[in-house]
Amino acid sequence: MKERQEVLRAMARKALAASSAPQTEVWAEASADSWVRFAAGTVSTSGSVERTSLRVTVAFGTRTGTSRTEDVSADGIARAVRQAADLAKILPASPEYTPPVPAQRYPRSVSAWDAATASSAAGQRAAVAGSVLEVARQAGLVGSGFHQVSEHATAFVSSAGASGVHRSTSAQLECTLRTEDGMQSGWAGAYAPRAAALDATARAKRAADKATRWKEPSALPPGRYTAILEPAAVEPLAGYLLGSLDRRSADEGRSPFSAPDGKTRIGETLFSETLSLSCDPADKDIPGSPFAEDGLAARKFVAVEKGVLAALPVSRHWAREKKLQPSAESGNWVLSFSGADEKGVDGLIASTERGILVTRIWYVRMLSPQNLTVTGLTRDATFLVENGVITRPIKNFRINQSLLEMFKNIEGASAPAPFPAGDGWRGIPALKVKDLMFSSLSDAV
Amino acid sequence: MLRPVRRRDLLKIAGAGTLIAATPRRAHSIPGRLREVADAAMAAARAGGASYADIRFVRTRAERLGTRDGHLTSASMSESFGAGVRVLVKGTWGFAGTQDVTVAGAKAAASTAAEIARANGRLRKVPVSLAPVTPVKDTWQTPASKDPFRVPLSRKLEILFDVDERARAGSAPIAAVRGWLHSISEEKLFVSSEGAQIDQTLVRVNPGYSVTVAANGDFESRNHAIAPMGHGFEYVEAAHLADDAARVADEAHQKLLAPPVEPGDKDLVLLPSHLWLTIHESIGHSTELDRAFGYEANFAGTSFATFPQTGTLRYAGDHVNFYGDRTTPGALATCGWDDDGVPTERWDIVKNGVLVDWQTTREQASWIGAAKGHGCSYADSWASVPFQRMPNVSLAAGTLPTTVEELVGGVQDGVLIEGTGSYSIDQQRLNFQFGGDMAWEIKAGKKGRPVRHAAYQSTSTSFWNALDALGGPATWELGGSMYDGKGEPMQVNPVSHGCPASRFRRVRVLDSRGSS
Repeated sequence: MKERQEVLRAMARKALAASSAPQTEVWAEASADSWVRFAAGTVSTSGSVERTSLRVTVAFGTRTGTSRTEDVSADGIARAVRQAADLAKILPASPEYTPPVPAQRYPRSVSAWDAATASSAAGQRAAVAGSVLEVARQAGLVGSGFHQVSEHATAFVSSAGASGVHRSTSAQLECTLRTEDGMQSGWAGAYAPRAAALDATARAKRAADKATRWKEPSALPPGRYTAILEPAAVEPLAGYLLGSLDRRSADEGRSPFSAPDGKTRIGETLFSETLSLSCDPADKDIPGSPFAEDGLAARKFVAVEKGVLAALPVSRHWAREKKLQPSAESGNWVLSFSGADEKGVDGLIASTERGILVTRIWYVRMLSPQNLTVTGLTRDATFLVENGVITRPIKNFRINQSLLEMFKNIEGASAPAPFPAGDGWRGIPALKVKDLMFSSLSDAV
Repeated sequence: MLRPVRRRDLLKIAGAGTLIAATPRRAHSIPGRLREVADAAMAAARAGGASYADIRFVRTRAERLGTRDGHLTSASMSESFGAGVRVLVKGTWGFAGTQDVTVAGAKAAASTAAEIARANGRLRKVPVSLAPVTPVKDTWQTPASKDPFRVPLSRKLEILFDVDERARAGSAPIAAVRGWLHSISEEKLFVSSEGAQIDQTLVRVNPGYSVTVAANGDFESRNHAIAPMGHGFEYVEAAHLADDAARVADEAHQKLLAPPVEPGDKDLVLLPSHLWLTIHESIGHSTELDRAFGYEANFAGTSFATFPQTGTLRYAGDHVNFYGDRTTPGALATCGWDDDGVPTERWDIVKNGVLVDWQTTREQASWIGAAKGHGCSYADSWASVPFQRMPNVSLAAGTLPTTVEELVGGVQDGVLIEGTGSYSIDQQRLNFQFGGDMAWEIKAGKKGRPVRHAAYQSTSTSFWNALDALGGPATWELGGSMYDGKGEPMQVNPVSHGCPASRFRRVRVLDSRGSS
């Protein structure tokens, strides 16, 4: 039997063959997601869904139209092609349109797909949820969480000769254990391309430990503190930094990386000299996609090197406008730090004289795109660290923090761990940051 | 001031002459092929041990147009069609979604759903119990006089290009003008093992634009305040978007040049284009019963409000009333029946300032001993499991014809806020911080100069208890979002919130840029 991604490639080629437009690109994608959700100590909603879709973009000159369909029958494919062409014919020209990419040599995907994960059964998923609920029961806590396994496959073909496929799997487990009265909560999560890498009992015990220790938290006055941010606290903050990396907006004066007179801040040391930020389709630990924008072959891209803003992602359209190379990044951004602590979060705690340990940050939103100031709230167990050990639980805080400042103030980090981002991954470490702004107290758990 | 479409305009639109269906109205009997598919799913569910089952056939169509600086940047049509089968086996849910909408596909999905339910049965503490509902065979559709999918693309682009041209007519240092126009239709057919057969077509439009100005190494953006709505294209045309473009561009420039807000405890006058989001986050989410019972503890969070506080928890003063309503004309969550087949309705949530009821589904009614749910079940596609989602939760207007100017007139030192900006609230919906799209000082009862980076921080109950004056019915407007996220896997829910302009006393105002 053909592998799923090859079935998709055949489907995409059918669409390509059905198109009479001079320029055509086709993406075919398939996903299979199966999950179990549990809360209040019981299973709630669970399910399994498979879906396949086709996205066809055609162009006549620079008049372009896109159609997406989930009807992948022969008729459905033909209809999608026709609809995209109809759109392209009646719409005005788009000066930002870039023609289909020619044949590419796609990098080989590394360790992204796992057969056992792709064939997970309902009983296996129930067992994972059962492990968490059992740890909760033994600890006298109420278990909630979510476990999902997914398989994803992609094929891309273009009328200019490009053709590539990719497949990946992912597994995640998150658990929140709370006391019966809802006054104490602890969270832990694990994410990996392989379901076998999730250790449900260990994760649940970590969440239980946090919930148990976070008893009768006291209030620290708002202000600036050294913060130890676990990866789940770093991830939403890093997402805003990554989202701001764009050459066009910097060139147009709409970015924190803009400089006066239409210049950019590329080349300036803007971050801690220990920080590097890059993505590499060949990364073995944080799997990437072989496809970059519009089906370009992904390649290694370094945005920050030793604290210096080395480059900003460049779209194909902007590359053409400014006579630059498209960045063709693979999306698996990794925040890495020289001298990362091998002991992870525990090592960061041990090296801290006084600081705040944050499990998770929630509802992060941009306050000021000019200096990347964001706001968000800590949740699910926050502690005071003194002389290298956790000394007491403390109430949650709202943080209001400039990310430019935060990523300058790095004092330590763990090795990056995989964190899901869309259909791919990011490499997110735990961080120790000095002078993080905890702006007000939150009574939430 | 912006000229958002007001409630009276909406009523005018909704009542304008003979309504033409957004899509052809279908008869009460479903096409034979789907009846056969539904029957096959029900039979397979029964064979798998299900005591209850339903199947939803959902076709979603979306057209998305995007422009920038006077040219088209994106144009796409998408269509999704499939069926979701939900079964209840010995009190445990199972679900499976399939694009194979055939007898064989439906049987397979029902069998998979039953297998999942059986596998999870040992984890179930208390069997699911569904409140009784009278199964109906009926149809419902969004009243719309112009099907957005039948309006020529050239007409839509004309509106967006006109916006661009008129935004550039003034002297503002424009860096970008972005426009968008999204049209979505959701056709769904719900069939249950109890005999329900409900055919609904929901149409929504989401127009808008944003102007960015840049000068001296700094930049700002200003958005048009038009809300997405459950209407046809007549809503987009009635909004006359381009008429406001020069003002929006000018205000973007004013915003760029404005001084930062002076922090401190101040009075606030909040316009509906802003306040709907504060209602959504602090009232809407805190009165979802699944949160209060811990069912969102791992993701979207819980609630500071608890069920035993029903009838005693004071959210606000006696003059403040919030209600759930999935029947409000034009609102995004309005429909005839929810995704459990329960008829939609209006009910009180906070009455005379006190929490009196919750947002509930059929399943949740049994948690609290209610005879029925309030019709709050929704799934965002055929591939998603229905669960409790927010209805339109609105703040009733004041009984007096109070105007915005009168609200401002009662403020010595305050801020007037329009449109939405940054928003963030804790997972129990208590501590929050909201910014706006545009803010002006209020001094000695008069609207003054624009100020920049204004945000306010408060807690839900102290904030709503600080509401001292409601605008009259003429100030009441709907705002809303197409993308309220909740659940795992996460689903999005379109939802609207109506409110009058309102005044709040002594709320902590901060300069959000200087707060780091």
